[in-house]
Amino acid sequence: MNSQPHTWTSLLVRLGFKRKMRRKHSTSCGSRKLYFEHFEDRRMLAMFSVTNVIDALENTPAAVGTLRQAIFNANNTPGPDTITFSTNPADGLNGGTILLDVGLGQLFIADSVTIDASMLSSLIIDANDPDRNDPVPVAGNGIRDPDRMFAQYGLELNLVS
Amino acid sequence: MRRTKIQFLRSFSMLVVMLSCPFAATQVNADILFESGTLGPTGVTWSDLSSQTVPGTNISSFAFNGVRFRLNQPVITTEIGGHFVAPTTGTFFGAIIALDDENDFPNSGDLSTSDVLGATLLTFPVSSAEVFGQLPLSLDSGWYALVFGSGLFGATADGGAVRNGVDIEDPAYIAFQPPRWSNLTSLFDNHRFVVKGTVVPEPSTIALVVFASLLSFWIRVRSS
Repeated sequence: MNSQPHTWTSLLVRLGFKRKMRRKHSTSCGSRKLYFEHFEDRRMLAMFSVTNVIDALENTPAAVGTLRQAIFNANNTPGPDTITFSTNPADGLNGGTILLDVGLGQLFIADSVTIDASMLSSLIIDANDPDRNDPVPVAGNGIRDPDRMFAQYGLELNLVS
Repeated sequence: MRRTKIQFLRSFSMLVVMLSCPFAATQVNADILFESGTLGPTGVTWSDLSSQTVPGTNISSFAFNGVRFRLNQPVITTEIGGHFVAPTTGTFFGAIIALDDENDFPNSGDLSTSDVLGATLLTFPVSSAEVFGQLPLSLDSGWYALVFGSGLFGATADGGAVRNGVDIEDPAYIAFQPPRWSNLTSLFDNHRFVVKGTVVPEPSTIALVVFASLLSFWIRVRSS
């Protein structure tokens, strides 16, 4: 004879119903300790976008969206930066030419920057200087020689194209 | 007779104290004469700046950054500085430059012109902090620029200015990148650039204090 007392729950267990174990509320945290989840570092490159083919004096209203302004901003921002180009046909960059104003001086790159024109089929940066050689295409079928560009155009480019 | 002498000495000593008070207050405590923004949280690393986790601005041989400020009365500066950080410790320079007006820029990119009134070396911290360099200058009222950079005046290190404070009264930030100076856009705000020093009392203030002291002295002598 089973000496255990018959209760409704023991009877149900014998009939094959699983007994739901009620979790004990414990004051100790056990193996499920509270902890702060470690998020990944917010490492992101500063992105500056070129949205027109104009060349204008940096930090003026006319310079908003120009390559010259994007380079200035990248120079002034710590760490590696990326300059991208608008693909909006209305902006005229895809297949267009950025004609640099000789009077404004060379583009000067002072900090690590990637000028990424890979989103365009073609783009030409024209130094607009008769003493220089041909304009430099930075996208499409063009020159990919950062050293040459640096030497001739004051540009140091890490082209991604 | 003896009592009169004591009272005279007491009044005279009070006069000396009253006269010396304004000067002592200005000479002992270096006040903040100008601050472009509040000091944000310190302890920021260069990695925080270069990863854009905390906003910053380059301070290097090719990127000078600064701010215009106006003095309403003559001052004697003692220190200039701000909130900076760099990947490794090293020196950078801070300079005060005289400007013609609120739209003027320094006359040279290499800061070799006579409008540069003085420069000092500061040391970049590797964990961001407010750092200062001594720069004693006597300045009249007018417009000036406070500029920080490297590659000049014996400074060799590159680093950055931390921009995690809040601008005070819309400061006019300026920057030099070859080949010219320009006004910074709002993209680069919230710097902490500081000028410390003492205000030189105006002649009218001194005269007023002397007059009041003499009057007090005269009343005391007469009443005794």
